[in-house]
Amino acid sequence: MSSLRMAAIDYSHGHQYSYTQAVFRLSMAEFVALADADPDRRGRAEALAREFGGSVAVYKDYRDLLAQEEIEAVMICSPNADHHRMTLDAAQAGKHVLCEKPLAITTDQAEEMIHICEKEGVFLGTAYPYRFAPVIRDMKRRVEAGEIGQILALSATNHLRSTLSGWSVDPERSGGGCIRDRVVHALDLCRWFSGREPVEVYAEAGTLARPELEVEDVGMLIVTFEDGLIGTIDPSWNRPPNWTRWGDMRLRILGTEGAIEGDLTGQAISCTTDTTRWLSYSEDMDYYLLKDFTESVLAGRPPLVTGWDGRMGVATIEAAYESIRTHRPVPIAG
Amino acid sequence: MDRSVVICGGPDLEARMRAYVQLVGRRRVSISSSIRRFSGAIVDIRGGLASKRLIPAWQQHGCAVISDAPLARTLDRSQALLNQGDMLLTLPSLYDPRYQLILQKSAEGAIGKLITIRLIRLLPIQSPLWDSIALTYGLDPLAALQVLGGPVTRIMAWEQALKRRRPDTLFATGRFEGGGIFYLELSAAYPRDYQFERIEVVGTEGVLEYDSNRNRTLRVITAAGSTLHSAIYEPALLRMLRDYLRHVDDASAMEKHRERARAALELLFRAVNSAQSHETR
Repeated sequence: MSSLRMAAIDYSHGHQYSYTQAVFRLSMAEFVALADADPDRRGRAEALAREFGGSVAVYKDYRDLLAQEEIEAVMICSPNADHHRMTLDAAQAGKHVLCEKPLAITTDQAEEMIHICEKEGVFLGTAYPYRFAPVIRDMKRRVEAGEIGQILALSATNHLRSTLSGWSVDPERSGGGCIRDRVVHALDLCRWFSGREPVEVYAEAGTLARPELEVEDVGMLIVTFEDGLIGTIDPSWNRPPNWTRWGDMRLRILGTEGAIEGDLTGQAISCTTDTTRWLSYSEDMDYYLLKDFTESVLAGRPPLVTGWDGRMGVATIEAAYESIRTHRPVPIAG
Repeated sequence: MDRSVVICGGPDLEARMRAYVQLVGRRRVSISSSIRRFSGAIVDIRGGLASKRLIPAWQQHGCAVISDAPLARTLDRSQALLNQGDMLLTLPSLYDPRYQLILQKSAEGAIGKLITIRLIRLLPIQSPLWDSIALTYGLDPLAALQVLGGPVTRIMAWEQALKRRRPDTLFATGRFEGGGIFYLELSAAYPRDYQFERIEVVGTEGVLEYDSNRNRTLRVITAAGSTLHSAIYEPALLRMLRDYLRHVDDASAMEKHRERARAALELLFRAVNSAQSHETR
């Protein structure tokens, strides 16, 4: 099998460092370039590449990176508001794109990204690494094997610490708070497990943990999927700063024959020194996300998590924000 | 003063309540005793609205009655029964040492200002379901939510019949007057012998967490660290019975209980109405 030449655009979202490491670990991929307008982030990324033994081209302007013909695929981890423009630029330069979630700010933008990628003959993937988490892979295998029968209801949580800063809490660059940031993962898992699309959402939200923020930091969504299936999603940025894990994500599924629950962030070691901190103790879901993307592109097939999967997350978020304004259940654009 | 007690209930619960009556030093008499000569306390823990028909007659004979809720299929009728004679509604969670510990920690300011409350009760499929899940099991958790979070100003609810002929699962969310958000999930559709309860109260300074799957203690997580707290466990129904019988004996005030029951009853019917109308209430 040949190798895919990949590059990273923007390290504003911390996942890009992890994705970069994952590419270095893949035998069928070659990490060849990176771009970031910020000199500090660019320096850290270059140092990371060097640590992994790579000599990579480094660009300040991502458009200079896109001009390099040898690059076949890019990973975009910019502030949310830039996903749309950067993806269109990359697709028009003939690069396959793996875009960090949420795919875009609006459903129209997401649809344009899908359309342009199709037109240019490149694949568009959305970075939903939870599909590749060991707990989720095992749950999926059990559900598909019929261990809990037909799915009747789903309940998910996705919390982060209340310490976010920078572009994440700037509404102009992030497009929203914890609902924009956390819901898409849980929604994607509900869609993936149930095989049904969301059709309506009711949402509550507030800026309660840190009232000084301009975006919401707590929310609650009740999503109705096709055939009336209910999935509830509890997103927040409200865990204390010393929360002993990096997040708190769980998924519970009730089926006709049983129930299954996974604690996605629970597989960890707490190493207590001066402060208690979380250490990873599981297979790396980012690695499997990149492995799937790379193998899929090389095989000429769409990745497991497509642009459409990203688009459904964006459409649900849009409807949720409308519901928060109107205090009514709002249909989701399908 | 008649210090005897009549217990009306299903076989399992009745056996437990008989033991509790003995524990609190009372004499239990049979329901078959002539109600005309009886003026003690009646503990009515039978499920189903049909069984509530006798309550007005008991009240007319001057009996004090404590009963599972709701008392009728409408708020007005339930309230009428509640306001007539000496009538109380069972709210066991308010007597549960774990809930009281949560209340105590909240009141002490352990987690700062309230942000969210998440209350999940999942019961096995063999649990009795006399009516919809909301009418059968909704009052107690809704009372607990309001005691922990304050009055609810908005509720949106869904009821679904996932495995049984009647609605067996309830999902609800909404707002407290103070701005906090709640989530309530009740179900009697989980596998045989499955029983799960999770209460999570999140504040600006930390989290209070009780999870029956993990341990039976309350976890308090704040910037200062994570600590476990446990209350000396005593069944909530026993605690409630003791309070109730004291009230029957010496007319000790249970006004707070009455107010909480009334508020919970009102919220219960708003939830039922929301689920039926698909609108917030």
